[in-house]
Amino acid sequence: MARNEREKTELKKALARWAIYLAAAFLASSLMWSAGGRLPLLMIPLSAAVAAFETPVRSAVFGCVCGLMLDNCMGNLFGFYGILLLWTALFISVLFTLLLRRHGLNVFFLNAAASGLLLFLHYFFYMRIWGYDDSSTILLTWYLPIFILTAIFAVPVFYMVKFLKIKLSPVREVTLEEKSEDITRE
Amino acid sequence: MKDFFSSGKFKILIGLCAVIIGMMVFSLINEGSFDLTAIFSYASTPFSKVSTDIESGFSDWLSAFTNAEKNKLENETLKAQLDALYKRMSDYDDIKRENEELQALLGLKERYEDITFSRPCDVIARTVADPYLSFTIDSGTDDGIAPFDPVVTENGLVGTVTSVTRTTSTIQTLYSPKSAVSVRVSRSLVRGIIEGDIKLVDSATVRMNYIDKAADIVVGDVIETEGSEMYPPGQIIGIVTAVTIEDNGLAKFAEVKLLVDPEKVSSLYVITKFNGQADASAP
Repeated sequence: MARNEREKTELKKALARWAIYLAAAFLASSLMWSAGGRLPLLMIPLSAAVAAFETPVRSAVFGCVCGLMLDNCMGNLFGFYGILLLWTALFISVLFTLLLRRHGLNVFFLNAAASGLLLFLHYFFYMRIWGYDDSSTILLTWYLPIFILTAIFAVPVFYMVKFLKIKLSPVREVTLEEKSEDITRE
Repeated sequence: MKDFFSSGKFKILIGLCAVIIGMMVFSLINEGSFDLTAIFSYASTPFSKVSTDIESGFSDWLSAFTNAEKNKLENETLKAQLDALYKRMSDYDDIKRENEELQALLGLKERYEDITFSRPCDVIARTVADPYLSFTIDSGTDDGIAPFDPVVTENGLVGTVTSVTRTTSTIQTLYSPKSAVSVRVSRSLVRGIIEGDIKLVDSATVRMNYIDKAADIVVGDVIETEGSEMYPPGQIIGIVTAVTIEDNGLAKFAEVKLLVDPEKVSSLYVITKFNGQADASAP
């Protein structure tokens, strides 16, 4: 295959992959938008899973988009989760690039930590800080179930993203060449 | 051939003919009381049924080949007819719903002459992770809606508008701690304040606080808005389900079951103007 053609194919695959990521985010967002209530915040596991496989900058941008969608669904100040998820995704991506293996368990724990942090910040800024009565009840009856659901969803979402990454990534061609013809074989 | 005429088979055939002729004669003599057709039809019914099934099956199978084009055309015509019927049914449902909404609006307008209602609004989104169940409707400033406008259905009060865009508005329900509605018991005019309680949200109930200890309020009483700059008077909120003395022993509170469950509401109206309404643009 000519180099140009190969590059075109790779570009097409990458575009298709990102289009699917975005479509999934939009789908999750519209589902959450219409249903409301105690639902898993699907954009967090999605951005965490994407961050595990993509480069830090791309992950951060995607995290930001997911965060903005989440803001829209949750009626937050627009950009509250946008910014938080941008940094969270970037951090997760850097961790996977430098330190961690791309394993479901690692993504599960990182997603749980990210969800816990994001939900706690939401609780703090939208409930606790205003001193509402029964804010601890709200923490237990609303935020905790949402946290558990969001954490559980990390694993299936991770494997779906992994599947996409495998199917829609450029194929690495490795050629083994013998350096010398003078190798004696027995 | 000679052998055939002298054979047993021929004799059987002759015998059979004789029997048939005998039957015919018997039938002629008894003016049809000997119903040959009935006997034959009785005997032949199972066979004819089987044969009809086989024939029909075979014809169907054959017609798939012979009349494929015709069947396809017919199928497409029927499909189009079915689609048209479904569409008409859907239009009918929409018109029916719209008619019901407009009738309700008409009823509201007749009941509250000094109140201006928006067009019927639909709930288009429910806020995720909001314990107070706020939601978004499909009308905004283009429909004359402004922040703090009360939101009602034909059955009672739902909440208030908190934020508005050109085409959407976010509604804060009566569960919200930011919402406090001045109310009265319609029977005895006992006053109180309706406030949300997170523990009662699942049962679509709110608390009526600050009721005098000696006040006349019992289970089953109807609670309505008292009238303020925020809410017009007489908007029904719910029915009293329990009356309890506060822990400090100085006052009572009542649990009020909402007539309109905000979690289930799908169509509602915004009160855009009423006598005594506060000017939202005023500082």
